Amino acid sequence: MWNKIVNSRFVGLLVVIVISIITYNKWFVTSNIFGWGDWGFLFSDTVKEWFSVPSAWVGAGLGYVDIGLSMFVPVRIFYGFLAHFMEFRYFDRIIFLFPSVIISSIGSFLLVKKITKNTIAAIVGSFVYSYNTYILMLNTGHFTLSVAFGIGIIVFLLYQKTLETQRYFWALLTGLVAFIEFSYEARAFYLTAWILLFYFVYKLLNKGNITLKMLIKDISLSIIPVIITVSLSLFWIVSLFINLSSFSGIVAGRQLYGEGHFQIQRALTTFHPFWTGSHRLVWGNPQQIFWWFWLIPFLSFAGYWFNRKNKLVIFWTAIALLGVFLTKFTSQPFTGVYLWLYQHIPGFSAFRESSKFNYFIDLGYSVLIGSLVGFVMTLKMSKLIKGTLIIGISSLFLVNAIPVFTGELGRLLISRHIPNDYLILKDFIYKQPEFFRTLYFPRYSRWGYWDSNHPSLDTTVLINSDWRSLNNYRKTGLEYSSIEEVTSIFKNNASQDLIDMSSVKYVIVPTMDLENEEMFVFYSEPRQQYIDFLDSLSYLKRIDIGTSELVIYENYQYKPHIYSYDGSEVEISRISSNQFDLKFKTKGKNVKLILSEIFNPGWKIRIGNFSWWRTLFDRSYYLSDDFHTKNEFELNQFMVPEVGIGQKATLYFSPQAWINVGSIISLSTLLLSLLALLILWKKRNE
Amino acid sequence: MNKSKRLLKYSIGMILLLFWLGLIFYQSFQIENVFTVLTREYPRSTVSIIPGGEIYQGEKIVGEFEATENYLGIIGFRFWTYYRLNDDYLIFRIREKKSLDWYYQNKYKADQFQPNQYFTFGFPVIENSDGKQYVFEIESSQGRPGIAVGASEIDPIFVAKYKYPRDFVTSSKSRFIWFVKTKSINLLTKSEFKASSFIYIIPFLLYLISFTPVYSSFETKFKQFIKERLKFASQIMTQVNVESENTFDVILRKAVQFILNQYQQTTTIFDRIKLILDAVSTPIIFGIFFLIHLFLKRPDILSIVIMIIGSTSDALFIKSGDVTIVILIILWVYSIVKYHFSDKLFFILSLSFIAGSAFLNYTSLTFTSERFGAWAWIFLTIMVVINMIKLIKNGSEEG
Repeated sequence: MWNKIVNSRFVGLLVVIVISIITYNKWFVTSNIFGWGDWGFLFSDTVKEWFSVPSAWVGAGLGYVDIGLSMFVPVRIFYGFLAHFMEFRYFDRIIFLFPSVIISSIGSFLLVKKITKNTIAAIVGSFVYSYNTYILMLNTGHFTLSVAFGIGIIVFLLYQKTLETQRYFWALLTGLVAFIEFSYEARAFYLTAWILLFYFVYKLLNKGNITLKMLIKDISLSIIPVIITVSLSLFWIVSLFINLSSFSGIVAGRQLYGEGHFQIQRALTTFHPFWTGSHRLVWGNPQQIFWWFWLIPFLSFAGYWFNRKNKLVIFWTAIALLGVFLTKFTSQPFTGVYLWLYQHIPGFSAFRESSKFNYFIDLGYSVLIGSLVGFVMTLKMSKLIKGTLIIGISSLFLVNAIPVFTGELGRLLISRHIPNDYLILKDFIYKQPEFFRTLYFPRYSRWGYWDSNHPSLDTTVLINSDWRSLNNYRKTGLEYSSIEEVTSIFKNNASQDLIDMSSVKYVIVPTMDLENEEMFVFYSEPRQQYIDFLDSLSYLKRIDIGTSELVIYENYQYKPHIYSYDGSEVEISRISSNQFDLKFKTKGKNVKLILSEIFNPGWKIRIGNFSWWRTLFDRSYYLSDDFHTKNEFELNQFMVPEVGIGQKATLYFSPQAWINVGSIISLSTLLLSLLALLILWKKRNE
Repeated sequence: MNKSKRLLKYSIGMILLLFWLGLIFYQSFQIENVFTVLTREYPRSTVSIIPGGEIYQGEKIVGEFEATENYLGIIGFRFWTYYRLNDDYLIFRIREKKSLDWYYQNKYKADQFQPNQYFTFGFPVIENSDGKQYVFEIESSQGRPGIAVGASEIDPIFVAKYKYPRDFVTSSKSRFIWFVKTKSINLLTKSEFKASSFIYIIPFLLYLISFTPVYSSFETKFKQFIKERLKFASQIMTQVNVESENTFDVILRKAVQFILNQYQQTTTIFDRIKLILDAVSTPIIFGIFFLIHLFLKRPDILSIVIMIIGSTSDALFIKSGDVTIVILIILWVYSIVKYHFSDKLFFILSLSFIAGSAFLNYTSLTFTSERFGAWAWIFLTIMVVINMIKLIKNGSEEG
């Protein structure tokens, strides 16, 4: 009876899930908001409108090409849908926080269980995967990767099942789940795809006498998941390749980053360079490896040694060693290999630094240490010794979970609370129907409200990106002053025109809420100096909207989103962030139109009726690019040669047309795949 | 063996020796880059002032050394950057110790320093520097917490480089010979050069091991020698009586007593020296013979020993670069194919090198620790590949 319970898959799963919930109790037993670094807070009203068809242009900030379109499904569809029914604190948990913990635990458990056929070994294997320093750091900062890696394990198991059963049902399911992984993080999928490819080749080599028929069947079973994943992702892939010029500078020309943070010793011991064992990380200050981490490679390779006749154990050892080699980045041995791969292997350029290859090590080590425990379980020795050994091995990893359990690790384990001032600000902005932007000075607040009709701007970010060419501040070293740099752009004579034409209606100085990480970390100077500076600007007027600390200024002369520079009257309808329909109310020649979105050659103007599919075939559909220029503030400026009263025109972000084509293919693939899955499932049951 | 085969064997040997010489030249170039430069290394203990941790504004490193050559022109110093671009300027100064004025000083941006690598401070060459004492300082001008560099923990911490003019070196035959000799001696003082020279000769050594029939011809001579030694040993055993239950104790006591007896019986110094030489050389020659005999019968063990020494030398002394690693991997693969080493050997080696890496990681030898880690990874990979090939060949039940 006891043995049955111990060896039950259900009991094993229950154990790993319960321990995960206890470890991440901060998320599971409270309903607080968690945010840190790039993982910001979003109001439901911001997110609701995301539930729409994929869009190439994002109407946030001064606008940008959506390179995160690959994450459309979890971030836009799932988030957007749930935001209609619940607050951020709940939908963020459902889409990211909980899956990052639960899927990883379940996936790693099932993987090790399949190889060792032993529940206790699988539980320990799951601990190795879930509580190593890299995954813990991911789970408290980079959820998209964390969830995708977890799903990646399921994808591998499904693919394994496909090859074992030789059934198309499993191949289809592999493809659909792989697409979800792809949606969460394309890079995680890329790594999983390599594992699948290696497994396919390894399996083939081990088959011995293979016939052509068997080979063709294996290849077709393996291609189906690839076809499904790629077809479902076509909504963004098509546009990426056809409109590469619009995306250039975003995906190319990046250099390796973080050399020196990674060495082979850290890779072998799975010790994250910034793991302190207790408090939050010290970025850029690699930590000394704790001595007990050196036991991990010994245990892992002992696991290999005692199970070296098991082909799956050998396979995962090879994956772990590949992971060690890649994670050590540009350090010894073969220091130039990573750079070569980065420059020559398609897709590898997405890995500017090597930490993501820890995935290979973590998966490999979880199998190896799980196998070691499986071996220990078969030994004829007292239960006390066995138990001590297994607890000792587990403790090496569970001890890492302590700062997560206590919340000492900080980061995304600290509860945040929306300050009341920002709730007042949100209501104030949300109730205004017209388009305008808010400019946060000197830096954006994570609690600041924005939506596509009221985008927010961050002065510090802008002077280093979209307004870089307007930033003339050049001091460095001891002469550098952050307040001087951030205010310099407003000391320019054209500063008023800049914020007018950028449609900035309100300038906001955030609060100093240290508890919520809402602090002036960027500046050494007191907050009051920034307020004093804004007080001195004649075109801004301080207003009181009922906030206690938050300081707000109004710019009465701000311009609308789209307007005519020479006074021609135009009626504007916003169809989406990619499309604006215009109707001219006055006659005119050489009418100058400003679209206050950052300049991008993908923006086009069509005079007359518009239908997006015609843009695919008709090269002269739009007005020539000669009429589209960048104005002095980096915004889009169109010159329409001649317009009459009632003349219709459309401003369109042209890559969107191909995204629409891709979306149709993706949606059709989804429907067909689901239908095929249903038919195969029914057939299987019959 | 026919003539052509013998010729081929000699040719391969010669090629391997030439290969060794070529790589030695390559290595010497790698270490000093310029042929006419001589380098002298100095340990951390020779630097009189080194601030601990980050070097802040106004703090300085002070070093002192005696120039061993003329034409002093470069001081290279290892810094620790904390793996970041530090927004500091360091001022480098150098003067002769007895002089009050600085001979040269300049400001250097710290963001160009590489972690643990020498940053070279160049200055106008001092032609008659030989035998003179020099003092140098490196001062931080605006170092603050988080944007300052520190001194590296790695030894040697600084180097002095002597830039001989090309014309000087090539002006006469005698000068050229003198310079080559000085340069060679200079290189031989460097452990990295010695280690790499050994690694590069391993292909030749492994090749030599493969000539087991040649060694067999020496066997008869060794047998004759052994006969004489055995006679000497049997005298010890038969002529001395010692009572003890411990065999080793008996042999040792008998040996000592026998030698003492013989020593008393000898009258001339020549006989006494001969006796001492016999007593010392017998166990040594026995040991050597045993080893040669073993290697004759088991060249695989000799290969393993040489290869392990090679890999350990690489891990201990080679600071960077992949050439030695590539050569050693090729030789490991050659040995595996020739002698069919099992994965067990590589399992043991990998764990030993992981242990070495772990130990060294907590010393100042972090680079050596990394190299040990690299070798652990290589051995693990070889181990898995051997096993994979074996399983693919034999087939085995999965799971």
